[in-house]
This record gives sequence, C-alpha cells and structure tokens, in this order.
Amino acid sequence: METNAASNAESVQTVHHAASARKSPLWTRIKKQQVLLWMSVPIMLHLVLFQFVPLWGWLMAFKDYHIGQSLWKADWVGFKHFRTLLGHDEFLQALRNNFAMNSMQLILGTLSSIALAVVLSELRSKSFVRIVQTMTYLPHFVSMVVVANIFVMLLSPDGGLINDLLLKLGWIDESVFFFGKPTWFWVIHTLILTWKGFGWGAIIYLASIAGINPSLYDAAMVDGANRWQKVKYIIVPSIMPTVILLTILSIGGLMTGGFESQFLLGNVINADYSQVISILSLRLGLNAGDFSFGTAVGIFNSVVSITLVLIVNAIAKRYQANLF
Amino acid sequence: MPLHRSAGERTFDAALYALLAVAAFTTVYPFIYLLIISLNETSDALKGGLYFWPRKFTLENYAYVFQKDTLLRASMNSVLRTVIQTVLSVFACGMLAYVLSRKHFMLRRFFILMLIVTMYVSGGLIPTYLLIKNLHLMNTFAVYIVPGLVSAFYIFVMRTFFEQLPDGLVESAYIDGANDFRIYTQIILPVSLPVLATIALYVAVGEWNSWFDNYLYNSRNEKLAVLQYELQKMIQVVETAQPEDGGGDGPRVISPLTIKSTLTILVTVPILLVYPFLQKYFVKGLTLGSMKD
Repeated sequence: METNAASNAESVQTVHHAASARKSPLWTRIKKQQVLLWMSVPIMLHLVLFQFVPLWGWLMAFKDYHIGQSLWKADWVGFKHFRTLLGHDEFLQALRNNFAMNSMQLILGTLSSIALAVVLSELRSKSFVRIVQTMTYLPHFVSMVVVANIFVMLLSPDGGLINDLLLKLGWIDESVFFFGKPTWFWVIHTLILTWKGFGWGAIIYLASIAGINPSLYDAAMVDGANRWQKVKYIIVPSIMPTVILLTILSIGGLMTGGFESQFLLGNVINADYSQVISILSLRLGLNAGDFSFGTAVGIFNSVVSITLVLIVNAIAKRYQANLF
Repeated sequence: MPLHRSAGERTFDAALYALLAVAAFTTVYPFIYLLIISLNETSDALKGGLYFWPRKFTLENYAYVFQKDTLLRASMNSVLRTVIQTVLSVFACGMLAYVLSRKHFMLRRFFILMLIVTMYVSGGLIPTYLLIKNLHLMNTFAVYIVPGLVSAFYIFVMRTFFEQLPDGLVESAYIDGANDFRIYTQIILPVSLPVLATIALYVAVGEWNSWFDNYLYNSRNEKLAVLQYELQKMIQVVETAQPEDGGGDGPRVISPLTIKSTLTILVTVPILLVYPFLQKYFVKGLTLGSMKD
C-alpha cells in the first residue's frame, strides 16, 4: 500500500516533471518573445474585431432580423432571402448592369492602357514620354468624387462644355442631357473610368515591354521586320502573360464589382442602367432597414466572386498545362 | 535602330507624338477648365464660353469658400484625418511587418495566414455597419481612423522590404541588449524611408479621397464632415445662380457651378503637389508588392 502510494506519488511527480519540461520551453519562448508579442497581438486583435467579427453577421441572411432585436432571438428562415433575391426584378437588373459595365470597362481599359504603353515605348524622346506619363497618371490619384463632379459638369445640359462645343460645331440643335439617357449610361461610365485609369494602367505594360530582350528587336530588324510587325510579333506576345494575369485577377469582380463610380454618377433617371448590386444592398439593407436581405446580397457578392476566381484559376492552370 | 529614318517613318512618328499630345491634353484639360471657372466671376462664368483663360479674373470664389464655416471645418477635418491616419497606420503596419519579418517569431505563420484570409473575405457592408454601430463609433471622428488602421497589403509590402535588410543590423542590436521595439523604432524605421514613403502616400491619398465612411457613419453630424463629402453632396445639385449675402457690400451672385469648381480645385491641389515628385515611390511600391516570391 505504502509502496504503491509512493510509486504513485513518484509517477505523478515524473508526469508533472515531464509536463513542465514540455511546457517550460514554451513559457521561456513566450517570455523571450514577449516584446514581439506585445508589438503584434494588439494589432491582430484589432484585425479580428474589424475583419472577422463582421463575418458573424452573415447569420442575419439566414434569419429574419430587425434592428433592435438580438441576432440570437431572430427566427431562422433558411434560404428564404436568397430565394427572394433570385426572383427579384431589381436584383437581376442590377446583376446585368454589373456584368455589362465591368466587362466593358475591363476590355476598353485594358486595350487603352496597352495602346498607350506601346506608343510610349515606340517614342525616342524620353522627356516627352515622361511628361505624357505624368499627365496621364493624374486622374488615378484624384478621388472618384472629383471625377464625378468634373464629368457631371462637363456633360451638363445647361452650359456644360461638351454641349457648348457640340452646339457651336452644329452637330446638335439643342443641349443633350447625357445623364438623362438611361441607355447611354454604360458607355459614358466606361469612358469616364477609362479616362481615370488608362495612364496608371499603362505602367505595368511599360514595365513588361522594358523587360523584352533587345536581341529580339535586332533579330527582327535583320529579318527586315517593320515597326508594325515588331509590335505584332514581339511586343504583343511578350505582354500577353501580363494581360492574361491581370484579366484573371479582375474576373473575380466581373459580376459583382463596382459601387463608387455608379453611385456617384448615377441618378434617378438612369437608375435602371446605373444601379449595381452593392447600391441595391445599400438601398434595401440600410436605407430601407431590411438588414437580412441586404446581407444576403452581400454574401451573394462574395460567393459569386470567389467562385469566379476559382473557376478562372482552374481554367488558367489547364491552359498553362497545355502551353508547356 | 537605324540612324536615318525614312520620310514615312518620320510622319508616323509625328502622328504618334500628336496622338499622345491629344491623350495628355484630354486627361489634363478638364482640370484646367475647372480652374478657369473657379477664377472667373460667377455671373460671367454662367454665360459660358470660357475655354482657356478667365474672362473676368477674380479670387472671390476662393474667398467665399474659405469664409464659409462648413467648408473651412471640412478642410480641417480632411487634413486632420489624413495626417493622423498616415502616421498611425504607417507605424502600426510597420510594427506588425517587423514582427512578421522575424523568422523565429512563434506566431509568425498563424498571423500571416490570418492576414491572407482578410485579403479575400470581408463581412460586407451591413455587418460592418452594425459592428461600427455596436461599438458606438457612429458620429465620431474616430471612425475615420480606427476601422482602417491596418491593411494586410501594406503589411506584406513592408515585410518584404524589412526582410531584404541585412540580418546583421538586427543581430548586432540584439547582442547590445536592445529589445525588439527599440530595434524597430531606432534601427529599422530610419533605414526604411523608401518603403515608409510609399505606404505613407498610399494611406494619405486614400484618406484624403475618402467620403463613403463619412456618408455612412457620420452624416448626422455636420461638424465631422470632410471635404470630399461636401463635394459629393454637390454632384447632383442643379446649376442655378442664387444671390447670397456675401457679408460685404450688397448680395453677390454665387452658384453651385463656381463653388463646385473651386472646391474641386482645392481638393485636387494637394494631390497635384505631391504626386509628380513621389510617383516613383508609387511605382516602386507597385513592383515591390508583386515581387513577393
């Protein structure tokens, strides 16, 4: 009995000893790295609060939640809000607007940036190139609010510069209210965003053009290639990987991206063509107080964009596999 | 490249130069146009026909903006949020980036994983709105600073830079008995000016340009309005001239057209002053972010 107890005590002691032996390096490591921990843990907690805690709110989309109520007590309704969503006329319209404007912007934006980069790389006067680049960057840095203000003013039917010019040239007989023509909105929006981004977008293409091996040009010259052929057979193929990569990156936002520009440029008259999903979510969710529905729209956004990214990634992988 | 170009090639070159000149002009002219309107007398500007030079030069519009309490306060708020956020955000992002650049740090992988997740998943508008509401951050100045204090992208850019610094820098400081916080503030920060400038600019431009948090969280408290928000409220305002008491001799005409142009120029000037000199930092930041592996 006694020996048993003793051996028990002994074994307890060894277990305890082993545990402390396993534990103590951790404890010493914590103590040793305490400054690093102090420097990082509060920031990570901040991140958890503002990035991860809101995910908890996704529950709202599966419940009938009203403001002032506790999220716990709200009734579960399953996919009710998602079903309403997919049968919602305004939602389908917004989805169409999203897709139309994002794809138009993707195509025109990419083409104009490539064109600018190719032309810039063709010119010899480096100071001219630098000046043009600096000037075309500018709209990228100013806010969308400023850009929207500028174009609403320029396109204004009463005294706007564009109407003024068109009248003087005799191309139109009376002022046109550009933002009052719903079907024009997609085109106007695309042109404005392209104006804002084409200079900045050219940087990355200029970088890939600068990285082309000069011996390729020499070889082309020996073969008697003209400038157009050099662009077609050397420059375009060498920036293709960049074009594909950037296109892949932007496809995630193709169905759901966009908010600020449409929100600022849109008005009541062109709402049928300017309202995108995020605006709908803001309007129905916050302004009308239907939090559950608004959150469902938000979740739809995330799920669709992540799915698109995964699909495109899979396609890109297969494409590359075929390539090599 | 051949020294002599044929006549055809030279014409082609000239066409390219002309094309680029047109592109550059189209990008910059709208700003010049607003500048001209803002420097012209309001009643005269409303007659139209101003293209390259103010017809009746005046600084009245700027004087008007600066004496209007709401706009003056909005400018102060904009400057304040930009300065405070730039300092705090660069310091905080840099601090986490430094910790994550220490290879022996015990939670390094876990923290990096969490940061990557935040780059792909977000709660969305309404859950975030409710969080801000529950934290009682609505109608406070803090809502401009606190929620957006750190961003995974900036942290990764800075970490990449710190990892490229020579190891000996930190090792020798350890041997001298300095702790990590001292190493970060007194050794790492002073040698990292290029990356600090890059991030500071990203943050500053973003802060200066933001209006949506104001619209969403602080629209009930006029005193917290920022310039971009004041401008945003004017976008859809119809352009009619209205007499307003100028405080001086008699009513003077002021119109949304001139106020908008003046405000737009005022909001753009700080960016205009900063970006040409520091664009190389932006470009550097762009490539730094993409050269992670």
